Amino acid sequence: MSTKVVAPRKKRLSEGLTVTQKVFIRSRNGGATKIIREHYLRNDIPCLSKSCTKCQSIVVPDAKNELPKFILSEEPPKLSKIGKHYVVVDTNIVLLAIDLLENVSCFFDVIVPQIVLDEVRNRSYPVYTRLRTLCRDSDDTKRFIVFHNEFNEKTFIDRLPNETINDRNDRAIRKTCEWYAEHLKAYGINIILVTNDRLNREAVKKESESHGYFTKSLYEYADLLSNADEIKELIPNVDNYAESKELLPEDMSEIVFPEYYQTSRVMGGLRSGSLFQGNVQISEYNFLEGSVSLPRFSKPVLIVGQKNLNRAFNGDQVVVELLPETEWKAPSTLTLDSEHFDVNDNPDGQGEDDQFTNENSTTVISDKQRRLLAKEAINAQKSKKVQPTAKVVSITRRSWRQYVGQIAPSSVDGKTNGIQNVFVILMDKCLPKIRIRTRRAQELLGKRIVISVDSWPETYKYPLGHFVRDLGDVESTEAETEALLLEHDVEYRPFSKKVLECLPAEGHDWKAPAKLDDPEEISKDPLLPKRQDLRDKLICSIDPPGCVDIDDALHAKKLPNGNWEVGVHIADVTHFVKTGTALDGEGASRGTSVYLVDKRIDMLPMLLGTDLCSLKPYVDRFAFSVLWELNDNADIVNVNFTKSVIKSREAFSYEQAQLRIDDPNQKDELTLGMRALLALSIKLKQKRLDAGALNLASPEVKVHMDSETADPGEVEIKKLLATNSLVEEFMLLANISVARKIYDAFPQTAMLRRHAAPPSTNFEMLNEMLQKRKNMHISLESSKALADSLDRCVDPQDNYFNTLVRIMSTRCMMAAQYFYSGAYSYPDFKHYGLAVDIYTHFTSPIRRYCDVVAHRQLAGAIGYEPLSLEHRDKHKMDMICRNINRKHRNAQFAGRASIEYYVGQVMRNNESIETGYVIKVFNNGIVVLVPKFGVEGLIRIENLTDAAEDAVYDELEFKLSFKPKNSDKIREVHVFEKVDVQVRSVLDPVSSKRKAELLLV
Amino acid sequence: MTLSVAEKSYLYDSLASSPSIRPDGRQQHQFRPIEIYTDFLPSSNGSSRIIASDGSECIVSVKAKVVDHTIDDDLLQIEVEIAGERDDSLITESCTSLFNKLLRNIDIKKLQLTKKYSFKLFIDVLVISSNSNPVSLISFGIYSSLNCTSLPKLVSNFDDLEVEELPMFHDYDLVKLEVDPPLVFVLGIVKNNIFIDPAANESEVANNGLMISWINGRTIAPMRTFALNDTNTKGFSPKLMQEGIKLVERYAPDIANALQNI
Repeated sequence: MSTKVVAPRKKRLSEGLTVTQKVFIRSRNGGATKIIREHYLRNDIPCLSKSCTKCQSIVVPDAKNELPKFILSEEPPKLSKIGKHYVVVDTNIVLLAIDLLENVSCFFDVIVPQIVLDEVRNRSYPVYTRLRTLCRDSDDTKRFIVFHNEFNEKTFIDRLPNETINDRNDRAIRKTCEWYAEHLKAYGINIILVTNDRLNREAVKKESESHGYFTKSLYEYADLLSNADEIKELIPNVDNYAESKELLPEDMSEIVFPEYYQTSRVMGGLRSGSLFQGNVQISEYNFLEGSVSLPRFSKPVLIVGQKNLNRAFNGDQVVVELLPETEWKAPSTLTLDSEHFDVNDNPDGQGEDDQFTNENSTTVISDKQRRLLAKEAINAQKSKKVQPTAKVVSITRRSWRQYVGQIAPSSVDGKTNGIQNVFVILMDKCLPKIRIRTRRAQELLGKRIVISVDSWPETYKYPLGHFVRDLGDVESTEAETEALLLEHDVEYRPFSKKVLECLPAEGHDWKAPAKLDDPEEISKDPLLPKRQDLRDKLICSIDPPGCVDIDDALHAKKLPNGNWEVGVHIADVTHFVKTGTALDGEGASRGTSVYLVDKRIDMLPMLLGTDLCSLKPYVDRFAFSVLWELNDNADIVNVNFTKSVIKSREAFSYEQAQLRIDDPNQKDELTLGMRALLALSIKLKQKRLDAGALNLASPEVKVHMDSETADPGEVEIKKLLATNSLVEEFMLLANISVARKIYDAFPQTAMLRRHAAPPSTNFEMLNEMLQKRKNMHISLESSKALADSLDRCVDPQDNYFNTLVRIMSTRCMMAAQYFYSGAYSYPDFKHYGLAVDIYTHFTSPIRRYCDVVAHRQLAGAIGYEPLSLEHRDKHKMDMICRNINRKHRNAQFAGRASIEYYVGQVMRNNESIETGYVIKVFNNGIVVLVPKFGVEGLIRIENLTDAAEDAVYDELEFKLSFKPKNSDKIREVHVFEKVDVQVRSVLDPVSSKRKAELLLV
Repeated sequence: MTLSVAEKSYLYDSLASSPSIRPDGRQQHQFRPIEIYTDFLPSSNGSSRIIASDGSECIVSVKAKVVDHTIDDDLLQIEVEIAGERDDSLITESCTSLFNKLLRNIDIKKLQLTKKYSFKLFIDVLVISSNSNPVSLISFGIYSSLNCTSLPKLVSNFDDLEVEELPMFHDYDLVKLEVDPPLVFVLGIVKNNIFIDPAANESEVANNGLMISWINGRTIAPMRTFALNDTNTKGFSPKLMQEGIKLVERYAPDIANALQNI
């Protein structure tokens, strides 16, 4: 077979413009498509160096009639042996060391060839955006430019026969360097190509003797810098970097993970139904066990063991292959986490592991047999206890990001001060430890650090990463807060200048116009006459104490016909946040405000959230109002939506409002309105419950902070007052009314929220436990049936039992999600928990982006202003929904993690004995929930008994029997059992994570 | 082309004389000059453009698609379109069927990628203009376009029968297709003389036409006679047919050689 390449044709179109063709083959779905692209070459692309005198004369203005800005300095940094230099980076350097490129103390005057930018975009979009930002915002300090080498006729090269695309691109980069070196020789500026690719560096040497530019590996380059030691520390850890002598052959271990399948096999297998694709979810109790939800299977398929997980991280998109029936297993009843697993593993070498010794037999199983196996597996899931298992054969998309963790002290060699390999234990316990190389191991001990994962070669037991930055001491509030924000991907940097420029120029002095027909005001805001003046209504707001971002207010008034006029007024955020502005973009990307115990990360800048939009009392504010006419039975007679201007008469806390309502002496109109609201809300709630709305529970607690020292003082379970539910009911009503209206106006793209019915498999375990232990049952036919059966789960001896069941049921429910109405059919819009057919979020636009979209759509629906295309495009709505769903979930987790941290801090000072409930029984431990602190913890068998091997675990009875310490009598612990536990907070020596340690008393 | 009775008679007589005298002075086996350009369509896998001296012109494009040959074993498909003729006209249909039959002689093993997949070639022929019978022209076009066809290079495994794989291809490199495409020669018969590549005026007076297919050194089926005009057609002696076959067998290798060297 001879390889042949179509000779590219070049055609000169005009002076300085040549057209050529790019040919490539695209393999897709087994087919091969030949793709031809016309490619234009020009001669007016400047080098962008300030010292260059030639390029100034060739530049031409762009479409905006602006000339390109020359950025590279005429006095770039000098290196001792090389002199003045510009740096050219290659793709791998960007991908590996983007952190280093962003570092303010190295990498100045950097040329990024366009081909590198393209390659980076294909490999990692996040890195690409960072590089783009770096080039765009590179001011006088960093000076990064993109050189369009592919469009420059002097630097464009054709691909040669038998040349891989990577080789061709490397050659293009070298060509660029060569051109630059030649171009800038006259000005005494040298070019250094930084590349970690040894072959590339050798190619430079081969290509020409007098190529005129230098090539260095990242390590060598860092070595040349004046601040070399500091920079070298930050160099990423990859297998083949730097021929530095430290890398010993012993670093390679005998452990070999199975190789990933080739793309062709993966695609073929997926198509023929013998391989499956899904996201890995690592069990939170056992980091060596994961599961993959696959559309064809009714239950997630298990992946057991390190080798079968085959280097998959939690959340990675993977392709799996079913294992033969003989290897199917029941889910492990063991708990394992990476902190305690192989604690003594040496990060330099790697011990033998018997898991890896039993190689799979190499017999080939045909696709036909595999399909039969899959059928078998689906059946097995329905009936048997034994569950099909699978192994990961390919990773489609990595979920790698930056992780927070701390160095495992046991892996640090205290004697050396040189570079050493150490393990970093990540905060997320579903992830393995990461191996990093650092010189500062000693110094970083006991600190929270950010690391990033670089690679996980087959021959390494643990992934390789590198140190990014240090957050501060473990347990210091700043470090812990930042750590949990990072871990939950919460954007917490201050708002950028561009965002803040979108705010009203008046700042805090902004005032709502006194008169809506004032011509001067109308000229500023032509929509003003469409607003309704509701300043005469007796409106008040009810919120938690200390609330500053008040986004809702209410009023009620008796109408002459005996019905009630009830108004819900929501902060008019969209008056200030217009689509397409930087402010809107930032809000959309943050998605939601995040509430931590001691901190609030706003979705919108403070000025809007706590002042201009916030419906503060005694001042005029713009609002979006929903006005109903309700009859005495709280049925809607009529509903109306309008943008308005209001003046809140009072801002109550829940307690104040409750007191005011309860005080018989208060007979003013405002109080009467509040009493009417309360009465109506009770009726609304009853109607909702009758329809089958669920009353679920979660162990929510509140941490009280000492106001002076900001130290957490005590923990309290959140109390609910009638006024809480007053506000809640009307917000629900408003959300439902708005949902109907916007769905009516925009049937394809209305922003809605749904909550799917839980699949019965979710409740299987809980039901089995209830059946066995309490002879109770949760029915799942409808939300009404579920609600009723939850009401029946009562233990006369124990008041808390019902709440416990509710807490456990909550965990079996599906998560509610945002969606656009075109994504599902109407019956699937149903909100299961609230038992309504359609729902959205409208009432908190200051802190949720969904509400902002709903506001705009409602404004469009009532003809206030036309709806921007952004919210009428299914594709764009899909992107928005995806993002806010993710951000919403992350925000919840971050909030919970923050409470957990503070609860830990509170318990640090008060060790006590509390009542707990066993909620899960494992082979080697039990999980106990302590309602008072809302914490749950695993009690390991080692802490229950001295004779761990004598403990008996009864899977069917959910029972663990063992001999407690200092006792001869066998003790049995069942699930749901009420136990007394000693609660104290301990700092785990391995993970330096403080957590509640429970001990059975 | 319409010739007067006198012209026809003069032509016939000179062609029928021994040795025959062709109006343009060609010998019995000689073709009119042709021009061939190959690989001129960038997005096809192979292409050719062929122009005869009388202004007849034909372009051929070869495109490949990956198919499962256990389902679809028809790996070569030809579409012929002749400008000015309907799709269902006699000449178009007969050309299409002729070439579809003819190309069965190509070894389709050459198109196999894996145990399960093969390339299927779609050969599109467009006769832009034709002043004499275009069959021979088309066959040269197909020959030279197949000759310059290069197909994507498989990089995945060959064995995919038991464990299925989707074929994956190299993103740039192509592999030259190596097949021996057949050629078709048109011969004209005038009385007891036979000659290759009759021009329009020769066709006008010919007693009969003969189409001889040839592949890799031997003549093959289909071989057929056909009328070159409506007026002069007569029978001919089987000897002439043998002579025609010999003529083709003698000169075809040179022609194939010439086409290959483009």
